[in-house]
Amino acid sequence: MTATTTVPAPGRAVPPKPRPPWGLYAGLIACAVVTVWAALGIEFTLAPLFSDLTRGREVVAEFFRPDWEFAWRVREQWLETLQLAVVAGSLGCLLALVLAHMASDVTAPPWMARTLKALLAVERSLPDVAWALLAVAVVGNGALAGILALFAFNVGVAAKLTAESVDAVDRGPVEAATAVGASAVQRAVAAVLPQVMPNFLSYSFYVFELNIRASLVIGLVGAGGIGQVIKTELSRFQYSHISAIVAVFVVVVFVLDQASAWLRRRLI
Amino acid sequence: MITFRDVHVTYPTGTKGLDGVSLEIPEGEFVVVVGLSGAGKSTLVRAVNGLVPVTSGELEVNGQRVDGARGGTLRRLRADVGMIFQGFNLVTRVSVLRNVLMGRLSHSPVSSLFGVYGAADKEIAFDALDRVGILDKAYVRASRLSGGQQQRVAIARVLAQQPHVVLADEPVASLDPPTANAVMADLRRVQRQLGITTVVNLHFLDLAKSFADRIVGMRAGRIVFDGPAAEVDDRVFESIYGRSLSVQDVSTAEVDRLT
Amino acid sequence: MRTVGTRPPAAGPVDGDRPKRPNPWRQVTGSLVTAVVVVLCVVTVDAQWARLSEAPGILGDYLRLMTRGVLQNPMADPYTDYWSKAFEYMVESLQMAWIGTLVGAVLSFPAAFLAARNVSPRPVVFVTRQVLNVIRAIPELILAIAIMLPIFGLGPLAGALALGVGSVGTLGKLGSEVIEAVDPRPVEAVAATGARRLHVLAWGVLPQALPEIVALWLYRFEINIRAGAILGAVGAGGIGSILTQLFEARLWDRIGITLFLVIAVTVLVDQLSARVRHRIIAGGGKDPVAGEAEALA
Repeated sequence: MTATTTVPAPGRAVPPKPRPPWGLYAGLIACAVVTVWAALGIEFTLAPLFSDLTRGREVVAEFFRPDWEFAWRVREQWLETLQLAVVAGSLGCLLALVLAHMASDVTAPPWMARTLKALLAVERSLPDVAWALLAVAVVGNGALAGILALFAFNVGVAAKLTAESVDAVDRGPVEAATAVGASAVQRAVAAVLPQVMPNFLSYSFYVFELNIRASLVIGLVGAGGIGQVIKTELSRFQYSHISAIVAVFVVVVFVLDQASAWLRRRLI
Repeated sequence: MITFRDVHVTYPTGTKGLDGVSLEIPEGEFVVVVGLSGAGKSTLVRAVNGLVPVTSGELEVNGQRVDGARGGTLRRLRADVGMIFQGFNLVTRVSVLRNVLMGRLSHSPVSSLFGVYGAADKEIAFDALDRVGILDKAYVRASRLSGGQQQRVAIARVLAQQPHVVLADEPVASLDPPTANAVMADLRRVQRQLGITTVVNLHFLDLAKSFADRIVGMRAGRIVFDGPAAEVDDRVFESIYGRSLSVQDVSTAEVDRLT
Repeated sequence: MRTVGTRPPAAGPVDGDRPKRPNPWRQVTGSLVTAVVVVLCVVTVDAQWARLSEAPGILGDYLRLMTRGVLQNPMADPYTDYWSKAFEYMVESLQMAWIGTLVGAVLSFPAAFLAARNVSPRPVVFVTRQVLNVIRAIPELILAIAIMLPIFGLGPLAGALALGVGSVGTLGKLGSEVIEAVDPRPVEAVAATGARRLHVLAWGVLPQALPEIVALWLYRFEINIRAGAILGAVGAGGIGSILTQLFEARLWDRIGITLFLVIAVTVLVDQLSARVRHRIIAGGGKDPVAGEAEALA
């Protein structure tokens, strides 16, 4: 048995061994090097998990004694979070819908699509916290800064996702609209919009969900909403207050996440 | 009335689509263009409404020059020329009526942007649907219809344009033979009722012979035959296709239902 | 020229016999409710809209100051220092995101298998999915404040671990979807050779799913670079920490330099990562996971 499998029959043409995938090896080595470099850079160690677990014990313990009453006391900030998410999300998505059509080859001349796509990539490269800091610097603390920051953040995300949907649209109806004598705008409205609408609606809801998540970040730098409460309580070391808010927050995001998944299934 | 005068079309890739085509199609005629794929029939049809730009030569539709037309002029010209596609090209997510109303776009340029069409436009759309026998489907989603019904919606969309010329690029190539025959019959009937000049590309010779007033045969971007449908015989066929007739060139063994 | 009036009448029903439009109450109520909510929010939100009128002017001033900072000779004093400082923090952000993604990848890898219906039994799938959903609902910021900072102290390590745990939810969920989409025939073939369960996974499922799973990791890396920025604001390292300090001190030239670097590095990494993802998934063209992944990130 073994002999037949290990000794090749004489004269049988065994195909030559393929060239080793050097590219893959190089990639793997590069990844390993980057990992070691990054780990050293941030002084990676899991030791505190075993030795210093007690260091954070009080804080973590506080977190398990949530002060539910406090979560209700700040209902106005919860409401503000919701308002910020709705206002910024709806305005941002509306603008994004227009920009998306201007950023796709299907509905816009190639030069315009390419320029706008590049601009959107730059716009999206700034994280939400950078927008929030900028907005607070320009219009001061408060809800307006939150709206502006979320708006800037939303336009980038929604426009990119929607533009990709526009790119993927069935070209047939677009051609039909052209043959009917439709202008560029009519073509977009009559042939493209109905096709991307379900996706766009689901993205809009997703953006709203993102806004609720981002409201922590936004508030932390002073741009209104529930995040601002966390910032205050954090500086007062009121971890039981924070944990109550966090618990409610997680439940809300969980529910929104499920709702958005349900909506996506219904729409698409 | 469509007039080609020595029309050449060269694609950006260098491929020749049309190579010196001269052709005159009088008002109200039903012309079928036949030829192998790549012979230039699609280019011929698409040149008429400017979907494919003419490289040189003159192309006139109802006295309007198509070559060189751009922007608003081209759009007005297209509004008067309906087109039917092989893939139906419907917006499948919306209702049949909404698809047909697309034919009215150039008549209500502003309100159509908000999806609002006047009662007159709607009546025209209903009438068009009625003519192809699917009025009862007006509020059904286009995606719910069969292929034959979808192509009828596309014909209704064209009728809603109230065009003077209709172009059809392989309108029945995606349909099974009996349905193809029925859809062609519908197209022919409506065309007779309204007297619209119609140019159709067909791959199947039997369909061409049973429906056309006149057949134009193309090969390598040139017209190699032009005459009444009755004149087409095996010899003519060979000159167009460069080989003798085979089973693949016929949609059904027997097509005799002439409407 | 033929006119519309000369059309012969169509056979069949005449006017008045037209089909009735089905009642679109669902769309109408949906749009109405949405509109009312939006308008209500716009009206009631406590935003000082008046400040908007001055905003463009102020923003213009700041932008001018920032641009001036960027355009200064980076070889001259103190700008060399500014650039190198910003660069140092950006590198730290990248390191955090890389380690975070790696931690997330390692933790989510088994979770993805446990959450895939074609691999695990139903109860396991259900429990794993719910756990992943809960993790997805906890923002990285909270993980950092509540768990990582108290245990690991201030610094990028806490940030990296917060990003890592935060990534598990999305990576696990999307990974399980990739595994579920695997072609069942090769899997069946491996099982038919009498292989053990682990071997079936290793030789039947993994080769098909791995490229897309790796692509997901890269995608998450892009997201973690952005997500890591906020962690700096609470002391967990990275570009966010210097950014918040600079904004507090209103050092616009340095803010300009830092933001410029953030944009440049992020766009660069995004492009690079997107290209590698295309290569991995093979064939190029449109990235099949990106849209879906972003819509769930």
